[in-house]
Amino acid sequence: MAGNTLIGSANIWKTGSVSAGSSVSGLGPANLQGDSCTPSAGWQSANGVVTAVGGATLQLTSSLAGVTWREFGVFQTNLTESAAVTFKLWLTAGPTLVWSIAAPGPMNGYAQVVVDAGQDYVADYLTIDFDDSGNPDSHINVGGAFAGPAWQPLIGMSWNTTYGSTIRQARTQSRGGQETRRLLSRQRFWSVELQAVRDTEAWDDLAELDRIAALGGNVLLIPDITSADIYREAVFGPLDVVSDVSFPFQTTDARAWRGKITERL
Amino acid sequence: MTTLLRAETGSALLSELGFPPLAEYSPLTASQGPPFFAIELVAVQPGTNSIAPIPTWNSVAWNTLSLTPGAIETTGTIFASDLGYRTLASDPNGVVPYPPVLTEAFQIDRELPLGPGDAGSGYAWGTVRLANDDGRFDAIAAAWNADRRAVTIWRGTKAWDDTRGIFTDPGYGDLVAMFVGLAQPWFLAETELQVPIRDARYWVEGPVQSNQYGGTGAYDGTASLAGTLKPKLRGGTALAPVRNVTPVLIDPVALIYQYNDAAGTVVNLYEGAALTITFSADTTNLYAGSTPAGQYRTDNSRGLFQLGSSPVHAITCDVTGQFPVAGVITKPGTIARYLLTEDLALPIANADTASFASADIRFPYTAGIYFHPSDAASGATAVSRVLAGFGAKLVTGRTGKLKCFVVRALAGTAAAIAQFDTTNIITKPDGTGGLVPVALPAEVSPPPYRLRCAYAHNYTVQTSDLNTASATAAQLQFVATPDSYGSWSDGSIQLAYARPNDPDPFGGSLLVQADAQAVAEALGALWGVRRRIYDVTLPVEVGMLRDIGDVVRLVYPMDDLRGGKLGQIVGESFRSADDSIVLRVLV
Repeated sequence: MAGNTLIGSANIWKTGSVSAGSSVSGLGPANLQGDSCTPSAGWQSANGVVTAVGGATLQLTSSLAGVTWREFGVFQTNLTESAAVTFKLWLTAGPTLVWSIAAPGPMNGYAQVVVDAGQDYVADYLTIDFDDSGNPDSHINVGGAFAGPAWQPLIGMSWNTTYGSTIRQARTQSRGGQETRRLLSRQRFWSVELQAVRDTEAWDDLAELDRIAALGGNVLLIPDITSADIYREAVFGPLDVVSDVSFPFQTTDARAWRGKITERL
Repeated sequence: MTTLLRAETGSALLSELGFPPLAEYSPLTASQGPPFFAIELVAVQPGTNSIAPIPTWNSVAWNTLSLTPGAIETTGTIFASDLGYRTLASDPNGVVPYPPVLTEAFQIDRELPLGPGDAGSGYAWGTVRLANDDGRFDAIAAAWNADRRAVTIWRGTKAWDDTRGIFTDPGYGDLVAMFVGLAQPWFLAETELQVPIRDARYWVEGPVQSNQYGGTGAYDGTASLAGTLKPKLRGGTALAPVRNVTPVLIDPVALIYQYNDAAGTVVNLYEGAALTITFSADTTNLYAGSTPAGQYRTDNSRGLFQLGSSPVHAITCDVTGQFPVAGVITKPGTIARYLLTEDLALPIANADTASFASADIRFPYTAGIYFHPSDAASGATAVSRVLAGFGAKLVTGRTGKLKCFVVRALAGTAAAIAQFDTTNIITKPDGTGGLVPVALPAEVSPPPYRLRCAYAHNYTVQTSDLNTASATAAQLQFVATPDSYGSWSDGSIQLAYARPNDPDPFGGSLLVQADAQAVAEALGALWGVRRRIYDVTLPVEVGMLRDIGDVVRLVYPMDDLRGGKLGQIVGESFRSADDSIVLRVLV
């Protein structure tokens, strides 16, 4: 996985201006500028609006012109697997389309659409078109969103990296010992270990990641951009530093660090 | 049949254990997701008034009111939840988001005091804590208030959408009210808004009497009476009046007395317990005309009477009293109802009026109650006094309405509204729960061998300043003691127990001996036999459908519960963090 990890922390949603083609009261697009990823505090289109033509669109304009964009995602959505989510980067002049991709709907149980643009692009604003005509809710709901630049470590995650999920269940037992379990939540996480952060990355990337994450916002981790399972591997949530930056290889240009990114529900 | 473990329905293991699959509780079915709580908290931003006169020259006339309209109050509702919730577009108010800012679990404990003389109810409430990490409540907490405003806590269950692998929100109509009550003053902490919650009794905890004398003379009382509460009398009939109350002398010169803050009648007027002062006439203006010496005139429309000459002994009277709007009310259930909704201005939405009316139909007794200015009774106390007279309780139902619950022994033909048995009684992962016996209140355990229900309460006990020459022997005896009693006793209990209970007399709001006797016998039938209380732990989905007063059948492999026993729910304990609820059942 070396060199294939992507970690984004500078979320342009939090600093840019946002608009939507359709929304309901209390669930406007500005909710996506917060850190919550819950559907009840996100963006929701009006009843019956499930296509881009109908108004299921979002626009994010950077507060500064000509900024770098690399990875994108919408999280805790109600999209179906058959949905199409089209991300487009634009320059205001023209306007000129810089890059676009039509991504499929989320995998069952993951409720997220995550895209790596493959390279950095300079653009002024992002549009997202949602087309999910078969959505059983008759509206589009997005709990959280990410768009922005990302850090691709020169040396990827080490083999000590782990992932898993925290399951919360309500358990009840009858007199006979029969147990019932009711799922309350499933929260995925990645414990990322980087064993060879180069000096050139130490402050511009790793320290910035730590600094921005300390503000309580969400980090988008794509563990392996070459994977066919990005939709299921990627995690968007707060970062907790597990171990300090260390110098295990002494004079070698390789610092070690470990952090845990937990899915924001 | 819906089962606890659908895959194991009818399994050999279950059969061998002789333990049928749990019914009604199906947490593992595909349609059920996590339960959640949604809260609606009404808050009000008070308006301003601009009634101050404008003191300027050459603008408008002196003392003209401001032309600037005052700001009217603003009412809003805070919506919150623990897991996050949105109503559906098809719901009455469309899509309403309940963001997940409810941070702390709350608890509700309700318990009915079972002692014959207790009419109140024991409650414990929690505090709703709303996250304020982004300062969303800063401005609201400073300029708005929620005290005694409505709080509703709903419980819902998310549905599982298997095709998307996500939980979806149910419609508003699918939510079940777990708590309906009132908020107390809130507190804003660094990271949270704390809102203590109460049941509707919070509304009636103020004094029952809010009318007071202004001290401006005539009907408003002398200056020395300014600030003194007016007497309040409700109930009584000509044949069974409220007995021997001490009226308030509001005009010492005109010798005018008041016994009620609304209309009423004077049935008997005593001077030193003797009927020496005779009735002259009724009028609507005691300051017009005159009252002959040795007689009295009444102004029934105001609850007043006037003596024609100064008395030489204490003045007391047997009287009846009306409600200002509801008028003549003489039955205890309805008296309690109008004390709540009329005297205490309890919003009608918080009163289960049908329960009070139903109590009157079942127990059509004659009742009355008097509050002298020196009796600073709270509203809850006042209502409880009326209800205690016939063994009833003031209860807050799950819907938040105050209702009248009359505790009686269940008839064998009573229909159970639900059955609690091994199919729905559960244990918690820590081993607690199930069906657990609880000690009965000390007043009724061991059983009492006698019960005494007071009636015709004597509101002025007199042992001196009596006109013994003119008063009848019966009246002299009556005024010397506070109560008369209807009683029940059972000699077999005396034989069975070394020292059976002998509770203090209870009641006093009834006015007829036969009614008090009936109450004493009814409560004797309840407590004069073996009674038990069990705490029954149930899934929330089962327990939250039941309320205090519901008749249920307990079937459990112990004692005489094996064959099933009827019981009444008399308490509830619920922790929002739990998936279970504990109901207390009196068998």
